[in-house]
Amino acid sequence: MAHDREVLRMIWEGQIGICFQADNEEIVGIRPEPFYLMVSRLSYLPLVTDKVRKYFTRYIAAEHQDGAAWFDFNGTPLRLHYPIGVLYDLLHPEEDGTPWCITIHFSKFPEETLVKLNTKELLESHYLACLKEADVLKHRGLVISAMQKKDHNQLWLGLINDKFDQFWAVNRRLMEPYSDQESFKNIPVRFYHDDDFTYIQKLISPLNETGQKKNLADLMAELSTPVRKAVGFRTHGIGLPEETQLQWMSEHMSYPDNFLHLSVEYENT
Amino acid sequence: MSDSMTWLEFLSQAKGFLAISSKLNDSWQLIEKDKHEPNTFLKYAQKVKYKDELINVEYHIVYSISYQVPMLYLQAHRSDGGLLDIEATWNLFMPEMPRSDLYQMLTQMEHPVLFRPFMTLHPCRTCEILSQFGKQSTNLILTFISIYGPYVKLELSNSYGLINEENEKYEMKM
Repeated sequence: MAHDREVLRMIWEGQIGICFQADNEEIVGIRPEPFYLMVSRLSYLPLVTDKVRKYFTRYIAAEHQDGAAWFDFNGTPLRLHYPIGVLYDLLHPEEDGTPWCITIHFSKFPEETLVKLNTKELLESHYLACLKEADVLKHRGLVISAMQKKDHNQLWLGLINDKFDQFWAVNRRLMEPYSDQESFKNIPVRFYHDDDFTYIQKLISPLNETGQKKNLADLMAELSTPVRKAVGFRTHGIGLPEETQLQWMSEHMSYPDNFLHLSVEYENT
Repeated sequence: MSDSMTWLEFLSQAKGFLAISSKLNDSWQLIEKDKHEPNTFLKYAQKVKYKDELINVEYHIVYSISYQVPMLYLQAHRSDGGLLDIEATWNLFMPEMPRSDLYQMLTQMEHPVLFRPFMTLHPCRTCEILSQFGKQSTNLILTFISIYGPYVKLELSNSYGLINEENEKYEMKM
């Protein structure tokens, strides 16, 4: 069970400073000052940008004001359904400590690149689909399907309103091994390598053949091939010690979608 | 009868399905991005009439690593190249279903091989449904498309089932 509460707290409280800029081509008249905001690493862009949208709406042409908002960093459109921390870590802005400058757009939504989750309702449906998928991996879907609609609502409201206790009161049930088991069936995890937003998914058991709990060193061996070796993992902006157990990681370092999002560093052999 | 399938089972059944399709001069294709799991999928394209417009629909049958079942992804484009959003897709395929079911049935997600936005039918109960329909020797991908396809105007001709049965009889004699 996820019992290291201080770790859960620290992960929950991780924030990123963002500097939002307008798209010059959408501005009519005076150019607005940028808009600064501290946002949770665990949240999603459409959930934290109500104020940002409202602020910029005054400066843009009337015909674009109701458009689906989207964002880019240096020309790369930002996935609306990836947690903000994952986006930030993948694009690794050079100087940590300075705000991350991204541009907000109200027109020309890149339909062929971004999943269009421009309303909270759509994002919620996508989020629940991720939770279900994660639970299929952990518990064959038995825990989430035994939950009620109000539990799903509580998770979602906990996340969007930044209420740690409300969220974890339900999430802890998803983060416990099933009945008499000591670990999950598989670890919900996505491996990122490049900054192109593609990832690899595999069935990763938390236990090795002899029933021992696997750690990150075991995972490195599992991901390595004759031509390249996995040599390190990062998530939430931190490098991870290789003795960290996978089961513990899954319980404590997963994003609210219940997946671990790990950046893998490789070396050619 | 197992209620899920491994990646290798998916690959072999996809190839079996493709063989039936070519026998029938149907136009399913097997697309291989690379050799890794789950980067090979079945693809089919057709035009669907909606009001006065012809919509190009592309269907992909992709293996889900998490659910260990096939999943149906689709993308629908207008003749001017515009992509149908979730509401428009719903209106195209399921206008008679209650609107409240929309988010339980259809989600726009990232295609797990191409990483582009596609609509998908929720896979939650696929295992259960396949285990009810599938006979030991039946091609599960054929069963899957026959069950889920009609929700999105993807209808296989009856000949698929007949050829599949013939193949099975032949295999049994061997």
